[in-house]
Amino acid sequence: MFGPGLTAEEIKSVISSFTDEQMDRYETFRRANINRGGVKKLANAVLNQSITNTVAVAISGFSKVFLGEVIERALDVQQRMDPGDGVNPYAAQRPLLAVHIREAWRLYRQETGMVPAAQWRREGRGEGRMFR
Amino acid sequence: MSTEPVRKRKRPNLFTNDVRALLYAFGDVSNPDRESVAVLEDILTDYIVDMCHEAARMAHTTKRNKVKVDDFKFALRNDYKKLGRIEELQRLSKEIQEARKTFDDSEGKSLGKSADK
Repeated sequence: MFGPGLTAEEIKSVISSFTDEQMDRYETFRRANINRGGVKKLANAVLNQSITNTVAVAISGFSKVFLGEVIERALDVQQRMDPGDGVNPYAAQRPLLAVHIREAWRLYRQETGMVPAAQWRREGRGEGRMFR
Repeated sequence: MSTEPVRKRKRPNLFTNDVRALLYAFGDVSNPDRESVAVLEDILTDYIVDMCHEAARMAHTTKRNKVKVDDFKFALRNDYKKLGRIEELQRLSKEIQEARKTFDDSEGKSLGKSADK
């Protein structure tokens, strides 16, 4: 589950030494997902069919991975755009802003080239209107 | 406030709470910025829509209308992380099903014995 490089024991040992905040974040990471009902509603409307539970689970699963990739990129963007004073290790964490998210999404598309159907979105004024 | 072009379409707000939780889960503050959540939810919705279209394209090439998980797997064939996640979920789902089957079988046997008394 955790990929090469880390044994189950190593993972357990890391988790057992989590601070309360880290544990809370980790629990949220494990539990949170893209709700299946929402996925079904959206996919059914887009595809004009009734998708199976299995398909909904799959979409929910890889969408969570997708979000993680964008959010992690956004954190890097935030660090680059606004490094803070670099002196105070106890400075409060600043929230991600829309500008970080948007830049992260731009970088994701650029570096991945893997959202082929999104070509048409860049037509028109960039909000999906194809007919100017 | 926003430099994006004015959106005249209303967006379905299907995943707001999920996006908020996942922002925190992947490293944002415990109370994420509201606009960030909105932008990210838009991005997510667009992504799911686009992936559904891709999968539908795959299905159509085999003269099928209904999409299957395989269609998504093929669409993600060059994305090892997401593909791996789908396969992991399939494997876990299978394990759960098999565990349930074993449980049901043994439950049935023991219930049968006590019912005979």
